[in-house]
Amino acid sequence: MKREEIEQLLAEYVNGEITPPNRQQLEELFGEFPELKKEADEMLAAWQSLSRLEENVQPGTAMDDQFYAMLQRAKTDQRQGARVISINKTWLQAAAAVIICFAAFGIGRFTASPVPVFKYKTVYVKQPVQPSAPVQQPAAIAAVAPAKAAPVAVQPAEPVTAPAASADNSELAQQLRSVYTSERIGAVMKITGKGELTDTDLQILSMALREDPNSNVRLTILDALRPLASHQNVQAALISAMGKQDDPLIQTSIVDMLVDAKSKQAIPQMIVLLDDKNTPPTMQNKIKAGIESFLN
Amino acid sequence: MLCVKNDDLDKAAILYERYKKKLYHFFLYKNKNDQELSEDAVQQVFYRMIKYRKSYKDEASFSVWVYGIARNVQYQNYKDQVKMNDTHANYQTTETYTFVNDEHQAMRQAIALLPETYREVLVMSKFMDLKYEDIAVLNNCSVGVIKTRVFRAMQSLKEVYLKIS
Repeated sequence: MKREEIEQLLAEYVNGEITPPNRQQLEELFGEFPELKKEADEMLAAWQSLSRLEENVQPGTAMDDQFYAMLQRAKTDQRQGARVISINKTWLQAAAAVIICFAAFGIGRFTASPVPVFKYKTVYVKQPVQPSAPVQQPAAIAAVAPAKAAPVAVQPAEPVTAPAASADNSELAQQLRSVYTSERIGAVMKITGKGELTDTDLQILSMALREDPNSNVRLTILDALRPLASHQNVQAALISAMGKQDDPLIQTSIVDMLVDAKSKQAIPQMIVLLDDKNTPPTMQNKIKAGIESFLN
Repeated sequence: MLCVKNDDLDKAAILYERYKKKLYHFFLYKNKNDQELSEDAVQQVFYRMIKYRKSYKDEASFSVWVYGIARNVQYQNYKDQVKMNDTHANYQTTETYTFVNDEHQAMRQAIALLPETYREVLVMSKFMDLKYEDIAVLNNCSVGVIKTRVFRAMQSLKEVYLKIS
C-alpha cells in the first residue's frame, strides 16, 4: 500500500469517517507496523484536544444580543416591506394604466396619416330604356367617402344624359345610349357604314339627332345623312330635328342640307323658325335665302 | 432553513444557536484568534443568511451553503483589513507568534501557523463538521487531496500537542 493511501486512511480514522472495511484494513496495518499505530494514536489525541480547545473558547453574550436585535429589525423590515409592496402594487397598477393610455394615444397620434385621404368615385349605371317608359336620366352617382373636405371630385366631362333611343335592343342602339361620346359617334359610324339605312336605323339616328346632348355626335349624324338627304324619310328626320336644336351650327347645317335637297316640305318648319324671335339673324337670312331658292 | 426561506424568521434563531459556535471558531482561526472580529463576522454571516434567504436551494446542504457565505464574509474582511493596513502602514508592527505555556493558546497558535490550505480543511472538518466530500466540492478538488491535507495538518499539530503534553 502506498504512503498516500495510508495517510488518507489515517485522516479518515481521526475524523471518524472511516468505513468498516477501511478500519479493518488499517487495523491490519497497525498489527503489522506498531509505529503506525503509535502515530495514529498521537494524531487522534491531538484531534481530540482540538475539541477541548473549542469548548475552552466561547463567543460572548454580546454576539447573541446583537444577533437577536438584528433579527428583530429584520422582522420589522419584513412587515413594513410587505405593506410597502402592497401599496406599491396599487400605485403601479394605476401608473401602468396611465402609461398604457398615453402610449396608445401616442401610437395612434404618430402613426395615423396626417391628412385623411378622400376618394370619390362616380358610378354610371346603364339602364335599357323601356318602350313605354319616359326618357330617363341614366346616371346615378354614388360617392364613396365622407362628404366633408372633398379635395377633388371626379366628375364626368359633360352632363350625363344619354339619348333616348327607340325601342329596339340592338347592340348599336345600346351604344348610342352610351355615356361616352366616342362610343356614340362610333355607333353612328357603324350604322351609316353598313351602306343602306333601314327604317329602324333611321329612326335611331333621328332620335339621336334630336336628343343627343353632344353637338359632335349630331354633326356626325348630319354628315352621315348628307349623302342621303334626297330621301323623303331622311328629310322628314331632318325637319323633325331642326326645330329642336339649340346649337345654331347644327340648325344651319340642317337648313343647308334641306335647301340643297330642295325639300319643300321643310318650308313650314322653316317659317316657324323664321318667326321665332330667338332665331339668330344669320339663320333667318339663310332660311329666307333657302325659301326664295325654292320659289325660284 | 426552508422555513426561514419562506419568511419564517423565528426559525433563524434555531439555526443561529446551532451554528454560531462553529462559525465563531471558523472565523477565530481565520482571524488569528481575534475574538471581536470573529463575532462581527458571525453577525455578518447571519445577516447575509437572512437577507439572501431566497437564494437558498432546497436540495443544497445548509452547512455547505452557510460556509459559502462565511468564506465570502472572510474574504471581504480580508480585503478591508488589507485596505486598513495600507492606510495605517506607518503604524504597523510586525506580528510574531511565540509559544506560551497555556495549552490551548499554544494549540491555537499552532493552527494559526499552519499553511492556509491545511488550516482551512482542518477548520472545516473539525469545527464546521463538514465531511471530506463536501470540503472537496467546496474546494473544487478530489477527496483524496483533502484527506492528505488533513493528515499533514494533524501531523504538524501533533508535534505541538506532544510538546505541550
